[in-house]
Parts: sequence; C-alpha cells; structure tokens
Amino acid sequence: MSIEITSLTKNFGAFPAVKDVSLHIKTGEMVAFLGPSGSGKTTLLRIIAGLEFANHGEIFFDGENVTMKSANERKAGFVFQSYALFNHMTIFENIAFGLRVARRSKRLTNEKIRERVLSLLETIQLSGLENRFPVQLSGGQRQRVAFARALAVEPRVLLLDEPFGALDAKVRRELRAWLTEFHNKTHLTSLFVTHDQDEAFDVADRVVIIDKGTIQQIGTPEEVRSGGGNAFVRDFLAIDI
Amino acid sequence: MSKKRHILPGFHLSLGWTVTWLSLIVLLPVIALAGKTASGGWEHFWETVTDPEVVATYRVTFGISLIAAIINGVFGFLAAWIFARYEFPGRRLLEAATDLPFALPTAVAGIALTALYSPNEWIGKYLEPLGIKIAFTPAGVLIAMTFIGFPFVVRAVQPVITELSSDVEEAAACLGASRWQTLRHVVLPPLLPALLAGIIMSYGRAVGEYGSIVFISGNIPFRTEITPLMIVTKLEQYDYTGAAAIGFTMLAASLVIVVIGNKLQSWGNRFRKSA
Repeated sequence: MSIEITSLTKNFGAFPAVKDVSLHIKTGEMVAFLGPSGSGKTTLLRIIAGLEFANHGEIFFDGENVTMKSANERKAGFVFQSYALFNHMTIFENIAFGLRVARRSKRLTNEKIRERVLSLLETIQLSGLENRFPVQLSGGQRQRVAFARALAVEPRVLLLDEPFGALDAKVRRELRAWLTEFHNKTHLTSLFVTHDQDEAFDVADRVVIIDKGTIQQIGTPEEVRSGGGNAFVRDFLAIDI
Repeated sequence: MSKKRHILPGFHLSLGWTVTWLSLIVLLPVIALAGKTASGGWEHFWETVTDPEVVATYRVTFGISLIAAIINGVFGFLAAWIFARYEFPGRRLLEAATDLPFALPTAVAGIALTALYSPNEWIGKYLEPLGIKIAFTPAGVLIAMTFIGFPFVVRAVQPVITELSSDVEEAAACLGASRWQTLRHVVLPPLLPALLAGIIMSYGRAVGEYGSIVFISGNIPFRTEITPLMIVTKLEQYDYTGAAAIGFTMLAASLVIVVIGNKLQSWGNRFRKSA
C-alpha cells in the first residue's frame, strides 16, 4: 500500500510535535524514521496509524483519504516498543484477537483462525508456545508475538515504533535480521521508527531523518550516509567531511 | 544438609511476630466466641439460629447486602474509572466525598439517611405520593448498605485502572476492535480481580453493618430486621450464649464468603503467574 502525507502538522498545546511534513511512501517500501528522541518521529507514526490526529494536513492510503478515520477503521499493523500484549490472554488468543473482533460477516471460522495463528507461530518460530501467557515469555519472544498479532489481520501497512528498543543487543540483531528477511519475502509496506542509525541503515530502503518535527533529509542509506545533508544531519550521524 | 537461606534477614522473627499478633487480635476472639457458643449446648444453639425470626434476618442481611455489593460494583467501577482516567474541576472534592462513608460514624449516616427518606422529609415527601417508600422498608436497608460499601469498590479498583497502560487499548484499536470490544475484552478482564475484591469487601462491610441500618430500617420483624440487630437484642435480654450463637453463624458465613472471594480472585489473576 502506498502512503501519501501532505503538509501534516500536529501541536501538543503550544508545542509543535510535527511541522508541515509531506512524504510519499511507495508500495512495498521499508522506510525508517530516524531522529533523536523528542524529534516527532513517533508522533508522525501514530498519526499515520490513527492513534493521534493532526491539526492540519491529510493522509492517503492508496489514494483514499483516511485523515478522519479512526485507528480501528485504518487497521494499520502497529508494533509497540512496550509490546502491548494482552497479558490476560494466551499467546494463541493474543494473535487471534484481531481475527476474533472482525465484523461477523468478515469473521473467519474457528478452524481458519486456528490455522492462521498456528502458521504465524511457525513464522515467528514460537510453535508450541500457544498456550503460554505473555509473562512466561522473554522480551524477544514477546515482541515476535506482537509482530504475529499485527500480521494476523493481514494489514496493508506495518508500523513499528522502536520495536527493538527494549531488547538486548543480541536479540536485537536477530530480530532485525528476521524482519529484513520477512520484508524481503512479503514486501509489506513498512514504516519503522528508531533512534539507532545502524538499525535504520541496515533495515530500510529509504531513511527519513527527522528533527524538531520537520524532515531534515530523505534518501537511501547510501545517499544519507554520503554526507549530502544539512548541518543537523551531519552532526547527528557524526559524518566528518 | 543446608538450611534454606533467605535473602532478607529476620524472616523467623517477623513470622513469629505475625503469628503471635494474628493469634491475639484475630484468633483469640474467634475462639472465645466459639467457646461461648459451645457453653450454651447444641440444642440451645440450634434453637437460636433456626428461630424463624432470626432466619428471616439472614435473608435481609445476606441477601440485601449482596444486591448492595453488586450495585456498588457497577457504580463504584464507574466512579473509579472517572477518577483514574479524567481530569476535571472538583475531582478531588468528589474523591474525598467518596471516602466519607469510611470516616463517618455509622450512626451519623443512619440519622442522615433517615432524615432524607422518612415520609415527611426531603426526599421522602416527594416519593411518598408516588407510592414509593424507602424508610422502614427493605429499600431503606439497601440504601444504607450501598452507602457504607461504596468506597471499598472505588478504592480497590482505582489504582489498578491508573496502572493500566493505554498501549494495549491502542493495540486493540489498530487490530480493528471497536471501543466496546476493547473495553470488554482488553480493559475489563485485568480489572476483574480488583473489582471482585472490592465487591467482596463491600459485601462483608454490609453484612456486618449495624449503626446506619437500624434507624432507616425501622427494625420490623420478618421484614427489615438485620442479623446484627438480633445479636444486640439477645444481649439486651442477657442471653449471651444466644448472641454468641448467632454471631458464630455469621462468622462461619463470612468465612465462606472470604474463601469464595479468594478463589474467585486467584482465578481472575491466573494469567499473572509465571512458570
């Protein structure tokens, strides 16, 4: 799915979190939003998901204006840094949640739901853990469950908010490799918020560098790294020219 | 042979102290009550606790308390939700008012409620022409029981709602869940143990309540008499073993309620156990 953002602005009280951001994301792209904390990158992602609403500007999914649509109408696959798993449900029910709340006319049968959940568990390499509760899993396992839960409803876009931020370095690398592989296989349009430039350059097709609510530079990892950006970008990436 | 070691020191000392304290404060009076009851003999005990007038009070005390506890469950939850989730002018004042039944001497509450609902008083005089009687009816008992039990639910549930992070609600929304589905499947289940705890405490409070009820209920035998009143009546007639017998029966019933409550809570908390 392609995403078109036109002059998006969001203020929290007097504080401008996102200032006049316009961006086009092509179908199948993996784009990283890279910037220091407080730069507005997460707010931008949340506006795209429908978890925040902009003061100005519009958002189009595949040409359809979704600016006024709520999060449950947009159904973007959202992965949180905190996993946001439903702790009172088993792993199986966590992944099945989006399928169970679907409108009756579109709801899958229990057998189909079971089939899909078990196949997703295989994809995230956690087969056999479907009856566990989230507290019984490690951080890396929980985040993979969160991935599977987001993917279960077959979203047209995957939004990842610092998905590996709470994990240790080794698990981070493994999951990063897994995500790259997954994206290469499925070409699901994905937006990825991070403050870790290695992560951004490693995973993304294009990197959007954000600071103080505005886009500082957009380009492929090579373009951005080559040092063509402004003073902020060079300083942030510690590029010496 | 290695002794089991504890990281925190003083386990045995604090356990010993706890057991001693519990024995003195809780167990001893219970044993004394049992002893007093036993001294009257089985026949007297059975006669007293199955007396039709006493049996009628069980219905009022345990039955109406249950209704009051459920009402408090619903409205206490609502109040806790509003206090935890919204910031509005006067919130602190409302929260303080919620705790009032904790602090208010129950007799004062009883007089206040009677002053409101008696046929010629503030609210009573408007309800009377409509054929609704509150004072000196089971409805009055219900109101008093609801009044004194209300803060228990609010205080049990509010901290858990505050603790609940909003990201799970957002996750549910992104998965296509409606507000209602999110509330029903994501928000409420983790709150259930706290809500049950609040309802049980509110129930226990209502079962044991005396002061605020006896004024508004009018103490009509077989209709609005509560079990604690029976105890007081027996005491006034110097029938100490009779009073103890009824007290013992209430104690046993309360114990059953507490055990059921604990079972329900651990069931509601089953997902918190890590293996």
